[in-house]
Amino acid sequence: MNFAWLAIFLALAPVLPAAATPGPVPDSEGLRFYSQGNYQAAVQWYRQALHGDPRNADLHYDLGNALFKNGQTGRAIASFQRAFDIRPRDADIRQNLDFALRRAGEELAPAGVPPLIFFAFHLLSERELAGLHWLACWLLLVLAGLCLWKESLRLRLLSWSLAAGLLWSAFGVWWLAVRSGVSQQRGVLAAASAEIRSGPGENFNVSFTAPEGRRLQIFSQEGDWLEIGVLKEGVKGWIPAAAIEPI
Amino acid sequence: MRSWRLLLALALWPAVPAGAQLSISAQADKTQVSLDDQVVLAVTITGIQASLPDPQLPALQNFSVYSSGRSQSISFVNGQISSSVTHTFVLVPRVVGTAIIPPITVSAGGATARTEPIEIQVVRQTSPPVPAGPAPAVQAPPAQPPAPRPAAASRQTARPSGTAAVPDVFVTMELDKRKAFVNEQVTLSVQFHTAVSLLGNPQYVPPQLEGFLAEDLPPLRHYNETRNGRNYYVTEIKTALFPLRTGRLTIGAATVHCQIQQQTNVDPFSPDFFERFFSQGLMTAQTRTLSSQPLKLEVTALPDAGKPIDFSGAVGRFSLAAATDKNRTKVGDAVNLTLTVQGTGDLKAIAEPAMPSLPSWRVFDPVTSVNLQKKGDLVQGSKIIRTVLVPRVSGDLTIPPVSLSYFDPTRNDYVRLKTRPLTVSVAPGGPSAVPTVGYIAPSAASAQGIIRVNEDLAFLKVRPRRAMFTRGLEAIAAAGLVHILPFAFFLWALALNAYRGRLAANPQGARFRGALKAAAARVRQARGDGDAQEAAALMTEALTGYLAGKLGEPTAGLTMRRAQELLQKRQPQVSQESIERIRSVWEDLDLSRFAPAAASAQNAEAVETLGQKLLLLLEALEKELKR
Repeated sequence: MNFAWLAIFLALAPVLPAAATPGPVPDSEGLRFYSQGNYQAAVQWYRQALHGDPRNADLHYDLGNALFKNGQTGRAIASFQRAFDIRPRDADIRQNLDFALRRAGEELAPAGVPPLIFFAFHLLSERELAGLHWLACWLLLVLAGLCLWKESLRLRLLSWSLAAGLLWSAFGVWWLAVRSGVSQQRGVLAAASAEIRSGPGENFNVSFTAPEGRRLQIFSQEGDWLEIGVLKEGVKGWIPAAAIEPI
Repeated sequence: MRSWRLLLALALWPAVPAGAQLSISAQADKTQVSLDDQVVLAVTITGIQASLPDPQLPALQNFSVYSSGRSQSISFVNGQISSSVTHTFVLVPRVVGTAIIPPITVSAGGATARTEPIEIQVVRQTSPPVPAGPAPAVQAPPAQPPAPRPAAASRQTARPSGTAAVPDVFVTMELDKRKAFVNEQVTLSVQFHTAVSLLGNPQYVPPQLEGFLAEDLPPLRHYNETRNGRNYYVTEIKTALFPLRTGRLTIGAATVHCQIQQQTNVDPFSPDFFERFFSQGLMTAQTRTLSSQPLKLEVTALPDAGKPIDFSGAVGRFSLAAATDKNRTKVGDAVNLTLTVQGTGDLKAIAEPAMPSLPSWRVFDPVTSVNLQKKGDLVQGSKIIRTVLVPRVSGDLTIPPVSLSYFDPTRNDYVRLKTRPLTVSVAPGGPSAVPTVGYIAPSAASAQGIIRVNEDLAFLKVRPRRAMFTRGLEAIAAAGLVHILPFAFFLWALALNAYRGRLAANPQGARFRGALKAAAARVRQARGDGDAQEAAALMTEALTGYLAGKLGEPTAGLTMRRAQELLQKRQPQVSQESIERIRSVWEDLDLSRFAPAAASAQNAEAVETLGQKLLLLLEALEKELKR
């Protein structure tokens, strides 16, 4: 049995230092710029800070605030969306993303989807679900291995193994469902009023216009042009890549 | 403090008894009037409520009564609301003599107030209004200039009285237009023509006006008119009508009751002297009832095209203005916002303009006053909507534009009016004022719960979270090759289980393969035993067990001779030397097992040596033995 604990410890050993890495970056400088109303400087500071910690939801959130106050609604929405992807349960992140999206004529919970269902689905981030999926997978493998190894433990560990199997299946399906959404190339319109054309070039007709901050799906790229689809209205077209802030 | 008294007063509006401090007064502009003149009666009602009731006029048999308008004022002084409405009536005397205006009453909330009676002396008119008989060759100038008369669109003449060709008295009725929109003013004129002297003023019975709102348009007009070569004295009464529904509406007949002088029908050539003598200059009174013909008016609906979303039925021509009584105040202090709608049309029917959303203000119910004037045959005036606003937060607060839409019948189009935005600079209030930021706590006066004043981004993350849960799971997700370890453990366990399964399926083979391992374990155990005889016994068991396992024989009863025979028979590849070594070791072990206890010290060394020999033997046999 001691060997089993040793195996678990050895398995977790490589990830423990990563988990213990301090998440937040002290942002007193950015906070100072923001409080003084120097939003441009705050934006630069938060962008610099994110280079060192790109998966810090707080920094993405703070950057979104600074961008929004600086009048860059589209890029702010992209930052809030990144923060939401990392930590979807954070009430401030949800509020600010929803607030900014409503400026662009959207809402965080899509029309027709009950908010309870939406927020239950987005209770955990894609990476958290991946972690839970792997954790459940490890648990299942270790328990199954112990059952195979020690015949005397089989009866005692059978129910635990079944539970681990169910968790693994549930987290796996959930993870794949969320991953299918976030793994697509996404972006936000960062231009004030963007013209979306029927082809990748100025010589193609303008198909429609979209307001700044509208969330998009990116399908393909042709030179400096991106083929995008507007999620809410379900329409497609081409737009210069510079007008898009990727998520 | 003043503002809180005001707020308290506003909050308690409905709680104040409606009749409290209600008063009424009436004043006539003259106490003596001739039959051809009129009295203006002003009835003023005051009270401490925003909406005051209308006065109840008693029956005035001696006068014809016309409403001339109303004006209202509301004031907030030291937290006290006072309101005053003045209704103006025009009284036209009917008969000569002393006329009493009985007390005029007003009732509200169970309380009643009344005026003192007013005595009016009605005297004969100073000069006869109409020349009797045929019209003079030259028209005499009228006593007063006739009122401007629009071209009559519809005119109906009453049944004439007197001779068919030149009636002495008759009534006509006309409208200023044949077609009108709903709520558009239409002016109805009723003219009473008389060419003979009247005994007293006639009594006017207005027409039935179903489907209309009516407003009197005093004063009465008097002028002379010549018809069919006969001079008539005309009294004209005008009424503003506002049609309420579409379709062909009927205005009933107007009726006038009058008494005219008529000479007695006496034969001047009668032989009866006394008849001729007493009948000279004798006149008799004759009562006449005159009615006009009913009129029809075509009322069309307002067009749907271009109708503004905030249109609420106002028709006419209006202007809209907004103003605050101050542009600097403190949180919690009241500001009066006054919206003034001015123009011509049915002001009473104009709905109050919708107030914009004012989350930074506490908004009280508006108080409305209507001032009506009737000039130039048009109902006009102003409607004043006064709203008390109390700022909840400090800063420069803006009152957004207020809009009002109306239909202009002259342009046949809708017009949308918009006020300019107003800005009030609000300083922070005292400790008792409403909180200046965030959410407003419910006050004792109005427990409304939380009111969102402004919506803005949530602030930065001042104390960022460590998010151990998230980072731990992310680290697991990114563990890479670490995922192999659980899989490897599982695969090892799986292989072990399979191996065990195979062993279970072939016990002889398992025994054959496990013989050396079991024997070696016993030898190790024996070498650790302090008792030489016991150690020798264990080693003997190791050797016999090993040979029994390799030969597939039970351990019990396996003798050295039997083992040698079986080895030569079943494992012919085993060398003779090895068989000799088995015999030698076996015998040495037996010797050690059964040696005397005294020689045990020397025996211990021998056992250790035997142990090594046994292990070497077993390893050699393992190489030679095949299954």
